[in-house]
Amino acid sequence: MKKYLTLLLALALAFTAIIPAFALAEDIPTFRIAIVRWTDSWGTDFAETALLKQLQEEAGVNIEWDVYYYGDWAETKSLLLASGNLPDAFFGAITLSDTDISQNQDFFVDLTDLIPQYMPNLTAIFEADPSMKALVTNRDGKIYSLPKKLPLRPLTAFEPYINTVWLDALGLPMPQTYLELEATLEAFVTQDPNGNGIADEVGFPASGTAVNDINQLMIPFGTQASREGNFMGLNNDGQPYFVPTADNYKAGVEWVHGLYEKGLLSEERFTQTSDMVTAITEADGGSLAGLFYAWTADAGAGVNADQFEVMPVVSGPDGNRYVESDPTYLNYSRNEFEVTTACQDVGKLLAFADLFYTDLASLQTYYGSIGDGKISDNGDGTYTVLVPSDGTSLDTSCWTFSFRDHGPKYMNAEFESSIILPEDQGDGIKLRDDAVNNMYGRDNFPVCSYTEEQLSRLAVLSTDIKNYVEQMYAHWVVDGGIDEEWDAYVSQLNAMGLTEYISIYEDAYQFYLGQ
Amino acid sequence: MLLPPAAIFFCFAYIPIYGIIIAFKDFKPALGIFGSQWTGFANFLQYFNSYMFINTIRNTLTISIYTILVTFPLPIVIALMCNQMAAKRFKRFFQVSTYLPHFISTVVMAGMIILFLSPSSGIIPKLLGYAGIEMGNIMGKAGAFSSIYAWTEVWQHVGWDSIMYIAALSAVAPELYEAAEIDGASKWQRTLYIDLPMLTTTAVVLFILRSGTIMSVGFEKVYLLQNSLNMSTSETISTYVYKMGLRSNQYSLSAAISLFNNVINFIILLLVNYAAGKLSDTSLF
Amino acid sequence: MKRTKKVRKSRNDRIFDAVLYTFAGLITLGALYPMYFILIASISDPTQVSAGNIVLYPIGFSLKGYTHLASYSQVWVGYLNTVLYVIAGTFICLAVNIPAAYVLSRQDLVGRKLLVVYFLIPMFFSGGLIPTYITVKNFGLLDSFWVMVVPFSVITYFIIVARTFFKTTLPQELWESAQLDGCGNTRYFIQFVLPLSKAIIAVIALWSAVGIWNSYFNALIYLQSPQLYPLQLVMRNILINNQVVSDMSTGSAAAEAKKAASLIKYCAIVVSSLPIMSMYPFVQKYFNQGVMIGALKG
Repeated sequence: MKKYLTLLLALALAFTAIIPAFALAEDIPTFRIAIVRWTDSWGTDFAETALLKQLQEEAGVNIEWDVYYYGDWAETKSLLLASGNLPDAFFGAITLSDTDISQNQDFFVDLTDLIPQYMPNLTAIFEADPSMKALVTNRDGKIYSLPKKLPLRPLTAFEPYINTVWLDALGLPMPQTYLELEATLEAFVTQDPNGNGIADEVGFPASGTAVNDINQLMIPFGTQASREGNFMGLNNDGQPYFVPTADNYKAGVEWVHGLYEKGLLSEERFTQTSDMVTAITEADGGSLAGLFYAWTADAGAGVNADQFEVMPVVSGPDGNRYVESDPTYLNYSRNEFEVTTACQDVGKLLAFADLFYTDLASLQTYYGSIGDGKISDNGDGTYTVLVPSDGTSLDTSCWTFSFRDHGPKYMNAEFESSIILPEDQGDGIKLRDDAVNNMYGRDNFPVCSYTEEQLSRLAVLSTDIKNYVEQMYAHWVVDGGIDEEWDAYVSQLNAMGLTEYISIYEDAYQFYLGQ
Repeated sequence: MLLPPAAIFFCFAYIPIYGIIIAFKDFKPALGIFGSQWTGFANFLQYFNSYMFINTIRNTLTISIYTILVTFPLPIVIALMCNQMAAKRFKRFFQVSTYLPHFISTVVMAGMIILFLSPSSGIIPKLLGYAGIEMGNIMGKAGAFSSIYAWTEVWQHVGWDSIMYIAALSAVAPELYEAAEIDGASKWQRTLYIDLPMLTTTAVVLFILRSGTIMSVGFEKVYLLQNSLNMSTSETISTYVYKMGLRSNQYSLSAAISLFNNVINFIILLLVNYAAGKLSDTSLF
Repeated sequence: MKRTKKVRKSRNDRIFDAVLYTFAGLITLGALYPMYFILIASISDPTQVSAGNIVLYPIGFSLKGYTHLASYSQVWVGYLNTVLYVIAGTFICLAVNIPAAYVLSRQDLVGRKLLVVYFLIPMFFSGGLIPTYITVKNFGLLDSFWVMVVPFSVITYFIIVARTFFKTTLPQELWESAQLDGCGNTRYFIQFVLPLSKAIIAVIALWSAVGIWNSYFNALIYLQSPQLYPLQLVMRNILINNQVVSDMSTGSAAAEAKKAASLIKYCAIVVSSLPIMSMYPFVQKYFNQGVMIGALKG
């Protein structure tokens, strides 16, 4: 009997010892967040950073990350939504789109009234910068996701980079007009600037699609359109218009056809793979490309980057200079964070998300943690972003050790000046090159909000319209004939529902202006 | 003995078939399959009325029939060739070589095709150039797409597909060959009168099954070989649906189109099966 | 009676042989070239490959692609998993499909037509990915070893092909004489049918093994834990994800990831296909002539 009593007592004691442990464990709720990354070659260190540990402690939460990769996300996403196996939140605009959220609205928590309650940082940002609030408010006036503004971003997007080694070899100046650019490319292709006796130089080797070329090769004609790929642009009077049926587009295509005929563009620009283009720009012993458009020289030419310099944009037929610029698409976005109905404690999770909206947190979720040695705090209010010591590029290191472009962030303009970037890599170079051309950036068709009805109509209309525009563009560049076939082309597009397509975008634009 | 497969099939192939109703609804994952709104034939009508409907069906059928016609007889030829080879070592080498390309993944295969056909750097235009033939940029010619697709299918799969026929030929008793030789039959006659009939039943069955895939042209390879210049002949049903789905999650529309394809496939199968039964006494049931 | 083994070749036969071997030679060259190209491309500089400079021999010799691949520990885990899936999966596939094919080949089977239709319908009609996923989930097979080898093991195509083989090569007399000896269905199957069907078993085993070896889609959908991933999924993650990253329009990290992908593209093929390709020669001996002889005489 005594033995049993002691056993019972021991068990009871053990039990009471465990209970407090359980209670402590109960205090820290665990949340599952789904996040999509571009590629797994950057690893999963981004989820284990010093900053994340600090933020989790501060908010009193524990986060488990379900990592998916973009290549296969489309299939897995539909299963995740349809099988009812929802995580507590989704992270990053790459993960869910406007359509995903509006079609499945029942899965997502309405945050409109919860933000003032649980998110002081974000509320302050909304007051100081109302465009951020407009960004995430949908057509019904509700908020279902959180926004971001990337720090230290340029105004321009892709800029032209010209082969200055060849310019020097031929004694040519930087071209100033689009006709001079054409003449320069001709010189590149015919006068053997790399001096090897073979006509292996390619003027402009990049692959061709209408949606890219209107923002790059053809941009001297003012054909800039939204990076969303909807072919909508704003004309010089600030009015929205559909670029592929406008006169400046027609003139631009004729010019490009002329370039193609003269052999200044790659003959296979519509059929080659990107590997084949890289083989030309990054050729051993000197690049074989004369001109390309890219974010920075090393993004476009890799090892041959020092043979190129950013070209001040040339003027077009109307005398104006244009450069691709789309800040509302490239530097801001919504859908960075959504909370699902599976979440047991929305307030706590939102409070955690709110911690991302400080200057220091935004700095570290973009470059890497101070605690991990990616940034140094200089003690005097400035911070230096450090170049990795193992030879990897800064850009890759940022992607490996932080969320980089994804997730809630906001950095105040004043704070940006206290960040010191390396001059020879990554963002530093882009900002330097940006300064050359950003005065020529104009307003682009912005990122707008659409009703669910509009989104599904667009899905049906845009596939046919875009396919047709691309097909005709390729045909005209290679075979010519745009003059004779133009009218039939426009009426064909109208038959495919172009007028409805444009009216949807015009309606969305009006709503955007009204905000 | 039939029980295990029948049971597994029931669980994993028959139970999920209820999902076919997605084609008749406006499926939203948040509402689930049964909670989503019923729309009847609206999805089908949307597809039939879309601008690209006729084009995608025409392209799909062209590519599909061309491929079937070209990839069907050639494995039989390979198997017959193999069977008549007396040199054992070479026969082995031949067999192994022909099936090797089957293992190359679609992505790499497509990349290789584009590379090999490139007018500036590809090996095929170079070889043709020595023979004095100008090929031009064949990947950019809409009329050439179905040929490129079909003949590269042959290149990649003919060896692997011949394995089945080689196995079937192994059931021929060698005495038959020896008897025929004694009677003075040449190798060519032996191939024609002994080997070929041996394969007929297998070939007919495989053909019936193959015709039941007529609407299903593989998505990946077409998508990788497609470009703006050949789009008018390379846009198939599956690539078109994929592009529509990229923009918004068109579950219901894709389900409707899949159902449409499957019904056509099944009908064709039944027709071909019936015809085969009448013409050759071989059929599935 | 001793027959002379060697009959003198007639002139027709010699022409036949000449044509045969010439054609075969050309076909062999055409079929071997892509694999040869992949082999030399995998040890060449990727820029040279995309420039089209690699034709007959490697340029810019480098084993970097292979060392890069080998550094991924996931690749080794993937290899092990795939081998396990192939062995278990092929065995289950044979156990499930071959008996079904035999049963369906028997003329005296009750309701034969209906049963064939039962197996035929799901080949055409399917509920789609979502209901199938939900079904697998309800059976508790998500993220498990078994989901890779059991649910999708019944393949109507295999059943019909095997059934055709049984129908055309198993003589009725064999069954009748076995029955006279008091042999039951199952015993007949095990003792007579199986040994005579080595060729078709080899074919189905080969198709099944190769199919499982090459598959990645089921793993992508139904598996979550990386330690269960088969080799093809690992390869795909490395390759496809790096190609797709070019959609990301800013910064040089994208360009670098794509370079890594180009580097290992061809190495990945060699690494993931070599083992299964070398399986065929072992299977080849089952395709030799005269498999049936023993049956009739014995």
